[in-house]
Amino acid sequence: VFAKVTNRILALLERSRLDRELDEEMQLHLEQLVAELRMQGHDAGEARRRALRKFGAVNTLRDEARDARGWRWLEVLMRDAGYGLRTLRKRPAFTLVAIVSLAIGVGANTAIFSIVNAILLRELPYENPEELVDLRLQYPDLLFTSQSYPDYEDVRDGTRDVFSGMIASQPCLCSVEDATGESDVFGEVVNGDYFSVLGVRATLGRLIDESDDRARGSHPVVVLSYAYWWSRFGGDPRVIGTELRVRGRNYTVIGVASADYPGVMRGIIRTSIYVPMAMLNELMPGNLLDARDNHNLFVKGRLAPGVSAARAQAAVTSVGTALSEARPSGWDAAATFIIAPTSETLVSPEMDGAIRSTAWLLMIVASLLLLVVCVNLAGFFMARALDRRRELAMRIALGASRGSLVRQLLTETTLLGLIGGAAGVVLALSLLKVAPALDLGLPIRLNPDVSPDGRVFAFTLGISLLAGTLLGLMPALQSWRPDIAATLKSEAASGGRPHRMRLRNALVVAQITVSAVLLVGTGLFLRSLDRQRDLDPGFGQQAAALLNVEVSATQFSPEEGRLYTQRLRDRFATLPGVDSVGMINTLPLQPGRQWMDLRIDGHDPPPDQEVFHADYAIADPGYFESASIALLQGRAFDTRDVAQGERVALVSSAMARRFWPNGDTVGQILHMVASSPALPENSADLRIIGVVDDVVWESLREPPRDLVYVSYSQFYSPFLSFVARTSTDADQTALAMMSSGKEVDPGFVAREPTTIARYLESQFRVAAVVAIIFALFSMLVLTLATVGLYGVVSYAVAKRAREVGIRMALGADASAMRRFLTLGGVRLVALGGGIGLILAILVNRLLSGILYGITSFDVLSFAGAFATLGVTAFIATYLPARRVSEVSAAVALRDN
Amino acid sequence: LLLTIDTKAISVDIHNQGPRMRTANDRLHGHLDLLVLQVLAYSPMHGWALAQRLQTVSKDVLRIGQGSIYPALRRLEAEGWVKAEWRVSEAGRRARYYSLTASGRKQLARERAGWSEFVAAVTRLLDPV
Repeated sequence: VFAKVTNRILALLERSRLDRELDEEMQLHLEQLVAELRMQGHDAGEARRRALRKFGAVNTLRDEARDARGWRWLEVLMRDAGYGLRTLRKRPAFTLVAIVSLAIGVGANTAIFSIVNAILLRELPYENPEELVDLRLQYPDLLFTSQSYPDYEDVRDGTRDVFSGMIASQPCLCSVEDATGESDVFGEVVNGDYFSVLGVRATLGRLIDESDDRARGSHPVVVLSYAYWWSRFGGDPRVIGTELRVRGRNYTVIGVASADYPGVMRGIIRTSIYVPMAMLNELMPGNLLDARDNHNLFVKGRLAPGVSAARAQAAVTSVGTALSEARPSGWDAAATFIIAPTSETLVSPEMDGAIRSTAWLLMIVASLLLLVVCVNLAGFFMARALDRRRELAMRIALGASRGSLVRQLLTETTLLGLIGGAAGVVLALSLLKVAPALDLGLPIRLNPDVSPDGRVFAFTLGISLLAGTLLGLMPALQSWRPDIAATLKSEAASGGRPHRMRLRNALVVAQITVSAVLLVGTGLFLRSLDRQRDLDPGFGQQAAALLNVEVSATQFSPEEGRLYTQRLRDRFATLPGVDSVGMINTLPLQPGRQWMDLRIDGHDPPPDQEVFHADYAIADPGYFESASIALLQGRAFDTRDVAQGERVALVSSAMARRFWPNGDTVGQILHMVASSPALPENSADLRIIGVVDDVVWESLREPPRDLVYVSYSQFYSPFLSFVARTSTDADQTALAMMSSGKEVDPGFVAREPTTIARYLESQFRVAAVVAIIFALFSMLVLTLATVGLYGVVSYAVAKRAREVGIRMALGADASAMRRFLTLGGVRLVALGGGIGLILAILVNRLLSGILYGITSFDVLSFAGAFATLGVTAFIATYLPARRVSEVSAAVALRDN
Repeated sequence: LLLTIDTKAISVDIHNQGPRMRTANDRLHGHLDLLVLQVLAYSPMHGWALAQRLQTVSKDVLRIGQGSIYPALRRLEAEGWVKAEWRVSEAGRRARYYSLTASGRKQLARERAGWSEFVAAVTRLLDPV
C-alpha cells in the first residue's frame, strides 16, 4: 500500500515527464501503424489518416491515460466523500452530536497543546540558541536563577576568553503613563550588548546598543516590543523620537524590536519595553547597580566558537572563587556560579518541574477525553453498522468489495473527524482567547503567545485524522466478515450475534474505566485544595486591605523615606473603618527570599554551616496588629526603638522554641554576621524583645520556620506592603488607600490594591484552575460514558422487547423485568468500575507529589467518585429498562 | 426460484473470492484489463506489440481504437499490477516494455476465476436446472 501511495505521489510530481513518455509511446505506435499501412501500399497522407482512425482519438486517449495514471484515486476519494456526506446528512441529529463531541475532544486537545507548544516546545527566539548558557548563582541550600549587577560585571570581565558576549536583563513592572492614566507593563532593563548578542533585529529605528549603556542615568531611551508598538501606538512609525513617560520620567523612543522576539522570558511573559541598564537606578528603588545582594538580573552568555561547556564552567567558577577570596560586601562565600544550557530551562529550575508535569498531566487528560469521544462515537457507528447489515450484505452481493465498503466507512468517519476537528479549532481559538483572562494569582500575569502555529495545526490535523480513522476502524473490524447469505435470507436483520455486542460492551467498559480514574483524580484535587484552604496561614484572620508601595530611592534618603511612609500611614489611618495600619517589606508568601546569617550564644550551627540562616522581614510597630499576628511574649516594636538605639528583633514562636525551649527568649542576643544579604548594616547585635506567633513564609504547606522581624525604624527598605485592618469593606479600603496616597504625593507609586483574603485566595489559584479543568474533563467523560451506556442498554432492551412482552404476558411482574433488563448494564458498570478502581489506585499515585494533606488513596475521594459513577450509571441503565417494561405486552408482541 | 438460485450463486462467488473483487462498474474495463493481463502473462511487450496481439485474439476488444490500450495500461500500472520500463525494441527504437508484477499475477488469477464464475452464473441463469 505504501509503495502504491508513493507511486501516486511521484506520479503527481512527475506529471510532465510521464506526459512526455506517454506522447513518445503513442507517437511510436502511430509511426508503426503508418509504416505498416505504407507497406500495404497506401500513400503517406492516406496512411496517416487511416493510422489515426485505427488508433482512435489521440487527445481523448491521452487524457484518459493521464486520468487512469494519477487521478483515479482522487476520483474514488471524491465519490466516497460524496457518499459519506450524503450518509451524514441523512442523519443530521447524529452527525451534529458527533461533530460537537469531536469538536470538544479535538478543541480541548488543541487548546492544551497550543499552551504546551508555547511554553515547552516552541524554539527559543534567539540566534543560534545552542550557543547560549544561563548563568546562575548557587548557594548550598538555594539556587538563584538570577544574580546581581556587580556579580554580572565580574563574571563578564573575568570570562571574556570563553564567552563571545553576555547579556543581562532585569525584569521590571513599569508603570507607563498614557492618555487614559497609568498602566503597568512588563519591561526589561538590558545591557548594551543585549540585542546584538541575542541576535534580535529592529523593525523600526534602532535598538539599544553599547552607547546607551555607558553613563548612568544619562540615556533615557526606550525600545518598544512589536506587540506593544501595535497595541499602544497602532504601529505608527512616527513614534520614533517621541517621549514615553515611564515611572515618572520621560524616555525617548528609539526603535521597535522585531515581531518574532518576545523577550527574555521565553514568551511566557512577553516584554513590552526595553530600557538601558544604565537607567536601572532611575527606574527602580534601591541602588541596584551597586548592590551585590540583589539577585534580580537574568544573565546569559554566548559561548565563543570552540569553547566547551566544561571550560566555560571552569571560567565562571574561578570568578566565584576570586570573589570569595576578596569577600566584597554582599558576596556570600558559600555561593558559586554555575552555567546551564539556555535551552534546558523554561523559567527557572525550581518551577520547571511543576510546569512540565502539569502540562503533561493536562495533555494526558485531554487525550483521554478524545479517546472516550472516539470510543463513544464508534459505539454508535457499530450500532448503525448492525442496523445496516442488510444493506451492506446486499451491496457486497451486488459486487462491492469489502475493501471498498470499509474504505467508504473510513472516508465517512475521517470526514467526520475533519469536520469535527475544524470545529474543534474554532472552539480552541475561542478558549485560548478567554484563557489569558484567567487570573492565576501569580505576581505577574502570564501572557504566552498561544496563537497556533504550524505545529499546532499539524497536531490538530493529526489527531482529527486519527480520531476519524479510529472511529471508522472499530465498526469496520466488526463488519469485515458479515455472513451475507444468512443476513440476506433472514427476514429481519435484528438477530445480532452475541459476539458483535461484545466489542461494543468492551467500549462502554473502557469509558466507565476512564471516567472512574478521572473522577477519582478530580476528587483528590478538590480534597487537596480543600485541605489547603483549611490551613492556618497564621496571619490575616481579620479583614485587612493590602497595598504595595515603592518609595523612590533617587528622591528620598532612608530618613526622608521613613518620614514619607509616616505621612502615608497617618493618612491611611484616618480612612473610614480602618482600625490599624502597619507595614512590612515582604509579606508572608511573597516570592523571593531574604535571610540573615546569625550566631547564637550557646548554640553551634549545623555541621555543614558556619552560621545559622534565618529568614527575616522589616516591619513597623503596627504590622502585627494589622495582620492579626499575636504577640506571645515580651513587647512589639514601638517608638522606643529609635534609629540610633539598641537594635531590636522579634522572633517567631518556632525559633523561640528551637533555641530557648525554657521560654527565656526575651532578652537574648542574635549576632548578625557580616555579609548578610540585603541588610545595609552588616554586623550588629539584635536584642530579642518579644516572640510572635508563627506564620507560613514561603508556602502554605511548610512547617513553621525561624523568622526574625527587625524594626523599620532601624533597617530601611524602599519596598513596603501596607496592611490596613478594617471593619468595613476591605476592597473599598484598598482602593481608598490608593487614591489617598495620590493626595499625599502625586508621584505616589503603588500597585495591586487587594485584601488579605484575596491575597491568600490567590495562593490556591493555580491549584484551583487545575482542579476545575480536571473536574470539567471528568464530567465530560462521564457524560459520554453515560450516553454510551444508555445506548447499549437501550439497544439490548429493544432487542428483547419481544421476549419481555411474552414474559409479561405470561405473568412476570414489571419490577422483575426491570431488574432483568438492567442486569446487563449493571454488569458493564461493575466491570468498568472495578478496572477503574485498580487503575485509579495505580495512576493517581502519580499525583501524590501535587496533592496536599491527603494520600492518593483518600477514601473520601474514592467514595465520592464511585458514588457519582454509580448514580449516573444507574440512571443510564434504569431509564431505558423502565421504558420497555411499561410497554404493553400486546404492543411488543404485535410489533414483532 | 430463479432469483434464489441467483443470489446463492453470487454469494458463493463472494466467499471464494477473497477481499479483492472488482466492482460491477468496472466490468467494462475489466474485460480489456483481463485480456491485457493475460497477454502480458506470457511475455513482457511494448504497446504496439500488445495491440497487435490483442487484435489477433479479437477484433472487437479494441474496436474504439488501438490507442485505448494506453489508458488501460496506465490504469493497471496505477493499481500496481503492471510495471513498465524503457528498453530498446527489436527495431532499435526506444520503447516502453510492460510486464506483470506479482500482484498482477494474483489479480489475473482472480479475474479469471471471477470470469469463470460470471460465465457459470450467466449460464445457469439462462438455463435453469
